[in-house]
Formats: sequence, C-alpha cells, structure tokens
Amino acid sequence: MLDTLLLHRVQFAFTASFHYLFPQLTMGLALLIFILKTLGLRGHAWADVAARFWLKIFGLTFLMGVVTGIPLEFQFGTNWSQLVKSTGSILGQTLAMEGMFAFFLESTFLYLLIFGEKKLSQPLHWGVSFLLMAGTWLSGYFIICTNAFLQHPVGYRIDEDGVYHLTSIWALLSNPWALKQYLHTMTGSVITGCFTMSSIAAYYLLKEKHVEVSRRFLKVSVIVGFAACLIAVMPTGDWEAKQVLKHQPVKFAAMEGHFHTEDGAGMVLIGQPNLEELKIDNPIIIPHVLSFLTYSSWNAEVKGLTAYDRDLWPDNIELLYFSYHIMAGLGTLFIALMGLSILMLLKGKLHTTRWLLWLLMLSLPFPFIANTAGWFTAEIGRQPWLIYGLMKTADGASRNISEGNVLFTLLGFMGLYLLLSVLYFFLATRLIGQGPEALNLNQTDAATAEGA
Amino acid sequence: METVWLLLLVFMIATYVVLDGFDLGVGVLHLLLARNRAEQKQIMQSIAPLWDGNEVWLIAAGGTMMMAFPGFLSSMFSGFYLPLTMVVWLLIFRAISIELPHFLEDSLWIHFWNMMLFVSSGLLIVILGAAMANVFRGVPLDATGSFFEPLWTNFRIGKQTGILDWFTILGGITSATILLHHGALWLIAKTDGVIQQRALKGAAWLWGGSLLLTLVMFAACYQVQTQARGNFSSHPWMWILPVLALLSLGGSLLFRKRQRHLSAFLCSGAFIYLFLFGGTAALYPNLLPGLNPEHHLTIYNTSPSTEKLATTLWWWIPGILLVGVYFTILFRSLPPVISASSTDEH
Repeated sequence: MLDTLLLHRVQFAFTASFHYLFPQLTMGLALLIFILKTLGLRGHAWADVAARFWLKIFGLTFLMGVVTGIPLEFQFGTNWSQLVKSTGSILGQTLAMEGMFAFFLESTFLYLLIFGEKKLSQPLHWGVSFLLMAGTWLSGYFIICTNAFLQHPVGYRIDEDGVYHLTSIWALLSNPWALKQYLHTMTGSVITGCFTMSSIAAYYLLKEKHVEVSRRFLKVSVIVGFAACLIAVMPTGDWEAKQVLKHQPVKFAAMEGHFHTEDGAGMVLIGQPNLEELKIDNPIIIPHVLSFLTYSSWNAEVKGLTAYDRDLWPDNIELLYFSYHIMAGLGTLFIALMGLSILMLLKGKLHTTRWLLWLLMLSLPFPFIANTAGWFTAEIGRQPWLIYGLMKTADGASRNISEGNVLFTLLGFMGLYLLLSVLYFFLATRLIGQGPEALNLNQTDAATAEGA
Repeated sequence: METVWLLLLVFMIATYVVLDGFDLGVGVLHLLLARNRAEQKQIMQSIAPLWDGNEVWLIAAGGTMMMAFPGFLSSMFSGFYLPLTMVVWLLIFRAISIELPHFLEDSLWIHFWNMMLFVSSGLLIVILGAAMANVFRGVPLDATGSFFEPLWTNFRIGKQTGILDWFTILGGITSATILLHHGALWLIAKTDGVIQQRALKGAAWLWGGSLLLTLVMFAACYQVQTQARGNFSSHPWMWILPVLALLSLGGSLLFRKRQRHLSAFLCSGAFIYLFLFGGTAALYPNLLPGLNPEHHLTIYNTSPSTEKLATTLWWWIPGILLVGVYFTILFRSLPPVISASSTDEH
C-alpha cells in the first residue's frame, strides 16, 4: 500500500513542478517584453511588432500559470494543515502579500497591456509593461520568501504549544537565504525566457519566415541570455552553493555525491551514487576542485555524508544527486551555446549559421528541465525537514485525510494537467504558426535598419 | 485585535463574493441569454477583463485567513478536503473556459467551452453557498480542532452530518439565485439591446426568488444555529444587519424599475455584504462552530498573537488602498456600455 505522507508529497511536488513550468517563462518573458517595449519607444518599429507577438505567448502562458497556481495555496490548507496550524501566521504573511501586492498588479496591468495599446499613449503603454514585469517579479520574491522560511527559518519564536510566532516581518522579507535564492531563481527564469525566444526565432529563420523581425529578437534574446547564463553560475550559483554548504551541509554533501570527509576533495562530474557501498560508481572526478570551490583552498577539508547522523540524510539521495548534476551540467551547456551565439553575432553570421540555429531551436525544453531539476535539488535536499532543523515533513501533513482521498485527488490533478498540457501545446504551436504580424519595413527608421 | 481581523477577513471574502459573484452569475447566464455568437461576445466582454482580478480576492482572502486565523484555515481546508479540491478543479475549468474560446474561431470549440463555463460557474456558485452553510451550521470538530465529513449521510442535521444536507443544499440554491440576480443586474448595467432586455426579464424573476429564499434562509439559520439566536437576542442592535440587507434588496428592485441600473447593481452588492456580515455577527466570536459546543473554533483560539496582528496592519492597509487604486483604473478603463456592434476587437 502507498503511504499517505508520500502521496501528500507527490501531489504537492507534482502540482508545484507543473505550475513552475509557466511562471519561469512568464517572468523571463516579462523582462524581454519590457526590453522590446523600451526599444519600441526609442523608435524601433520591429520591436513593437515583436512585443505584440510575444505578448500573445505571454498571455496564454500567464493564464496557465494562474490556473495551476491556485491549487498550491489551497494545498497548504488541505494537505499540509499541521504546517499551517503552527506556522500559518508566518507563511500567511508572504502569501497574503503576494496576493495584495503582486497578483492584483498583474491581473490589472496584463489586461491594459494586451488591450490598451491603441488607447494608451506610447510611454504609458511602456509604463504598463514595466508594471506587469514588476508584478511578476514581485510575485516570485514573495514565493521565494515563503520557501526561504522553510529552508532557513528567521524572525520567529516558538511558544510552548509549538505554535510559531513572527517576531520580525523585516527579518522574514530580508532573509539572506531568500535574497540569494531569488537572484539565482530569477536568472534561471530569464534563461528560460531567452532560450524560448531564441528557439522560436531560430525556427522562423530556418523556415525563412518572419525573417526581418525574428533575426532582431534573436539578437536581443541571445545577448540577454548570455548575460543571464553567466550570472546564473557566477555569482548567484556560487552564492547559492555556499549558503547551502553553510546552513544545510547534509544537503550539500548529498548533492555533490560526497560520501566521506576528506582533505582536498575532488568534484564529481559524472558517476552514479552507490548507497550500499557509500561511493560513486564509474566516476569522473576532478581532484581538489570541490575543496577549492567551497573554501577557496585546494586542500581544505570537506565533510562527507558519513559525518552526519543517517536519520538526517535526505531520503532520496540518488534523485537529489542527479537533479543537481543535471541542473549544473545543463547550465554549463547553456553558457557554451549562448557564448557561441554571441561569437557568431559579433561576426554578423548568427542568423545565417544553420547548425547553430538548429541547436538553438532544439534547446527549447532544456532550461525548463534545468529549472525543475534546480527546484528538486532545493526541495528533496531539505528532507527529512519541512522547516529545516525544526519540523519534520511527517509532522506537517494533514492527519485526518485517508490515503484513498489523497490518491483520488492526485489522479484528478494528473488527468486535469494532462488536458492543460495538451491545450497549451496545441494553442502555443498555433500562435507560433501564425507568427508575428508582417513588418512593414517602410515604417522602420534608419536606427532600426542599421541596428540589425 | 482579533475582531478587527475578523471584520477585515469577512470584508475580503464578501468582496470576493460580490465581485466574482457577478462574473460567476454571468458565466451561467451567458448560455441562457445569448442566441448567437455576437451576443455571446457582448456578454463575455463585460467580464473578460475582470474575472482574473476578481478571483484574486479569493487568493488574497486565503492568504489573509492563513495569516490571521491559521487554526481555522487548517481545520476547514483539511476537513473539507474533497469538496475544496473539487472547487480548485472547477476554478481551473472556469478560467480556461473564459479565456480559450477566442483562440480559435471554430463553432464546436467555442460551444464546448461555453458549456464548460456554464457548468463550472453554476457548480461553483452552488458549492460556495453550500460551503458557507456548512460553516454556519457547524461541523463535528474534535478536541484537536479537526474533523472530516462524508459528502452526505441522510440529508438531515444531527450527530452524523454530511457536507450536503437540507440546510446546506438550501444554502447552495439561495447562493445560486442571489448571484444569478447579481449577474443579471451587472449585464443590465453594462450592455444594451436585446441582451439588456432579456437580462431585465430574468432579473425580475430572480429578484422574487432571492427575496423568498433569503427569508427562508433567515428562518432556517435561526432554527439551525442556536448560537445565532443567542447573539441576536442578547445584542438586539444586530438586527440592523438583516433589516438593512432586505432594504438593499428592495433598493435593487426600486432602482431597476427606475432604470438606474448601476445603482441597482450596487444595491445588490450591498445586500451580499450585509448578508455575509449578518451571518458573521450571528456566529461571533466563533469562526467554525463545532457540533459539540466545547470544541468551537473561535477567533481567539485559532489566532496566533494579538500584538503581531496589530503590526501586520501597517502593510495591510496601504496594500488594500493600492488594490483600490488598481480596481479604479481597471473599471474606468472599460467602456461604460458594451454594445453588440462593438465586440469585434476581442
């Protein structure tokens, strides 16, 4: 028989992972649309055409993000009622703020951005695109703050009944964990936006459709994308890894596949964790690099998993290890691909180099995979804790719900989300098939012509 | 301070019911009132830009409830596990039913989503009413403040309550009638031509139904919840709430007859606010009554600490004012009246 706790976890993991496929794209696209609107405001007519096209994709994706986000707030209460009962007054702060400061902003200004282009003046419409971006990015911050409390609780006290009280809202909002994780997550989101944009531009260029517009937004996506890929590794990825090492050393050892404490620890590039013999099978290890990256010294001691009580090990070390390595590995490939694209851009050959366009086109799913793997690393790595060091996951789940009920709702969500995926895929490919409206080159000014 | 947060929370929930109430009502009415695609578009355009913002009130109220009364949220959400999960599914269906039709100009596609919108909006209205009636009636809370109810038992109120019994079904039907009336008044205020005429006819019937069911519901509440009787007899001033509610309902008739359509709609909104505040006053200080009076969840035993609730007001008040600004911008950006001929843009 399946265990109820596992079903609660799987349901939340499934709905949250599916949900996050959409906001990571909308948060990234919101920035790119704002950049396109800024270029449009400066007289580049193509940028307005591109912004209108991307806003359509944004609108559809945003809708999917909204509808798949609703269940998550409900599930705090339905599936994790013991967590809410003791910490709701803290977690509710950031969730209520997300509603008040971000969702209202987004829902109001998305409508004005889509339907207001003819009614509003150009600068006002540009302002609306900024507010929409602010809304989506703020929303991300409040959610990361909520998660950061679970990863690294701050600004609280616990009374004798086990109820958590907030002692400082500022501590909660300026949780150092949240600041670093937010920057890393947002760069991941910008990467998704950029890869999606460059993939579709590459598709148009290979098909020789909408060439004038798409080669220009390809350029924008590659420049922003390259910067985001670099920032994702240095400094934000480095900050993130170091704070995991400092505050959650067990997670760090597990994700690196580092079993035994040693001086001058090597970094595992490839290999499978073997939990019976506590080693990595078939490894490729670069000597001393883990010590150097973590402590800036080639021979520093790095603690391994065996240094910690086995009860504190995450319950799925293999999945954690692979998730982390997939994220880090794909991140490295992203830098290489965007770096090559920049090189070709500088040579003026980006939009004609067919093999590179093929690579860009096919890379569409990978940032989604990398971001999901990143979340898996953060969340599976936190186990067995729901609130790190304070509350075990088993103590946070609802107690009065039988396993059959959770299984029923899990299957319901799976069926419903399958339908949503089919609909999204169908409608998004249709929008891409229709493409941006024709660009009237007579309207473009001199700046645009040379800018490409 | 707990009382202040109770009032703010009920204000948010009531605002959700008033705002999403009209677009849920319109979601049901659109299939009954429109005879062709242009008329459907005319109706849908009156809510398409607004439903998302309206629904955010539910999400924001959920966050506020978690923050102010976590014990209440955890009991209620886990106790009503199945119906609430189904509400989530219906909310998803309804959102895509509103947004997806105009992606494809295909009659079968559009008809399918219109049907889905009708079904999901209708079920949501009934379930919301039944849920509120459940909270009002009380649930079998144990000493730890948790409960789990089957969907139905014998439809009677007794020791073995189910989520559906005669009282909660009455709640569902009452809510459906009131919100359809509310939706019809919105359409009367925002459209012209045949749709307005048909909505006027519908509203006349629905007004009668709302009045009748409200009176029946008042009587049933008085019967079902002894706490309500006690509160109203020890604080007679509370009678002002149901009286004002009935006056607002009367106002909506009067203004509709005088063709002051916006005022009629606002009166209906006031009626919903007063109805819900009346219910809250009847239960006060309980949030979720238990069948065993020793296990009532009150605003005091489900709330964390008074001093923190006070400091939270420092960001909550500017937040709600900002929301007011957004809604003013949004509602003002809409055309005052949507005609069948002006719908091609959407």
